[in-house]
Amino acid sequence: MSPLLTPRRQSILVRVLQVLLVGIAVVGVYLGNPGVAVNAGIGLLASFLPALLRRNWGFTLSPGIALWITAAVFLHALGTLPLPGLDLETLYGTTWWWDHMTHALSSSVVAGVAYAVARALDEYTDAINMPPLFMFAYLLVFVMAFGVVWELIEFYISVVADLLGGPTLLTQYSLDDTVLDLGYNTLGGLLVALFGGARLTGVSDELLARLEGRGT
Amino acid sequence: MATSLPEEWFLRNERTNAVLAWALTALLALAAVAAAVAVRPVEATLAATGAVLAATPAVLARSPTRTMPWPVVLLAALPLFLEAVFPGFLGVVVSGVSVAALGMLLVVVLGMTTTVRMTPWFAVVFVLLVTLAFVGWWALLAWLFASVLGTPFLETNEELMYVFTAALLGGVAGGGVFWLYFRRQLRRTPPGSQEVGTA
Repeated sequence: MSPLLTPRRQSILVRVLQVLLVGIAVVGVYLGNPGVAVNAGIGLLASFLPALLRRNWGFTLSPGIALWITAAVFLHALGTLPLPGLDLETLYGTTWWWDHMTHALSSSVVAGVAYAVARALDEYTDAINMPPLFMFAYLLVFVMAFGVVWELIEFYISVVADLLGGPTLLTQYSLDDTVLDLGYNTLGGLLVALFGGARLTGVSDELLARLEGRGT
Repeated sequence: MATSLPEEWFLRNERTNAVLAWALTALLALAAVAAAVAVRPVEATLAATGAVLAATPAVLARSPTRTMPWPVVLLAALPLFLEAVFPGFLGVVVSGVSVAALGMLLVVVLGMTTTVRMTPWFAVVFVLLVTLAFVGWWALLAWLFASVLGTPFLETNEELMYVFTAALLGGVAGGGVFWLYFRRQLRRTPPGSQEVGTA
C-alpha cells in the first residue's frame, strides 16, 4: 500500500463514502426516485459487510478490501444520481465510460471473492487441487458466468417491474451495452487473476482457518 | 469432506461402452468437419472439442477400450441430433446441456493429464459455471465478429437474454444429471469410507 493511503486513512475513507451513500439515498427519497434510493441503500448495506463479518464471526478483512468494496458500490450509486453540474443528468447517462468502469470494478470484487474461496478450498482439502494456470482460467470462467447471471437478474427485475407497473431499478440499455458489460467484467476479472493473488492471501488464509476450525 | 472425483466413475474398459462411445466420437468428428466446411465456427469448435476430449483417455492409455461412459458422450453430442428437432429456445437449452457435458469431459481429462483435482460437488458447480461462461464468451465474440466483419448476430437485448436463459436452464439440467449420477455412485461405491460430499 502506498504511504498516502495508510490503513487508518483507508478506514476513514470508507466512513466518508458511507456517509455520502446515506446522502445519495436521502436525495433519492427526496426526489421520489426509487432507483437512486434503492441502489444507494443496497450499496450501503454491502459496504457494511466487512464490519458485519468482523462483529458476528470475528472474520477480519483488511481496510484496503473494505475500501475496494465500498468504492465499487459508491461509484455505482453516484452514477445513478441526477447531478446539478450535468443538467440533472446522471453519470451513467452522460459519461460513456462510467458503466464500463463500475462493471470492471464490481466484477473485480466478484473475482476477488471467487479467488479467496477457491484458494481456501484448495488449501483445506487434498481432494481439491487448483494449480495456478487452472486458477487463472477458473477466475475468468467465474467472472463471466457471474456476469451472465447478473445480466439475467437485471433483465428479469425489469420484466417483473414492467408487469407490476413499477419503476425500473436497474437499467439494461441495449444489446451492445449488455455485451460491452460482459467485456468490461472480463477486464476486471483479468486484473484480479493477474495481480490479485498476493493481496487476497490474507482473506483466504482466514477462510481456511474457519474451515479447519469447523473440525471435519 | 468428500474425496476427489474418482477416475473409475468415468473411465470404462468395457467393449460395448467403447463401441458406442467411439461411434459417437466419430459422429462428433464428422459434424466438426461438416460445420467447418459450412463456416459455422461455433458448432465446429464444440464438436471438435467433444471429439478430442472423448478420444483422449484411449489415446493416453494406449487402449481403444478405455473410453468415457457413452451416455456422457451422447449428452455432448445431443445438439447434433436434437437441434433440428427443437429449433429456437429448446435447441439452445439442449446446447447448454451439451456444453455442460463437454465441461465434465474436460474435468475428467484434466484429472488424467494435470494435477487438477475436484470433489464431485465442486465438479458440478464448475460445469454449470463453464456453461454460463461459454454463452457469455460466445456473445462477446459473436458480437465482435458482427461489428468487425458484419457476420449476423442477434438484433435485440431480449433475444440475447432468452439465449442466456436457455443456457442457464441447460447448464442446470446438465449439472443436475451429473449430480444425480454422482450421488448414485457414492451410494454404490463410497470412496474409502468417506461420507457423501456435501454441497
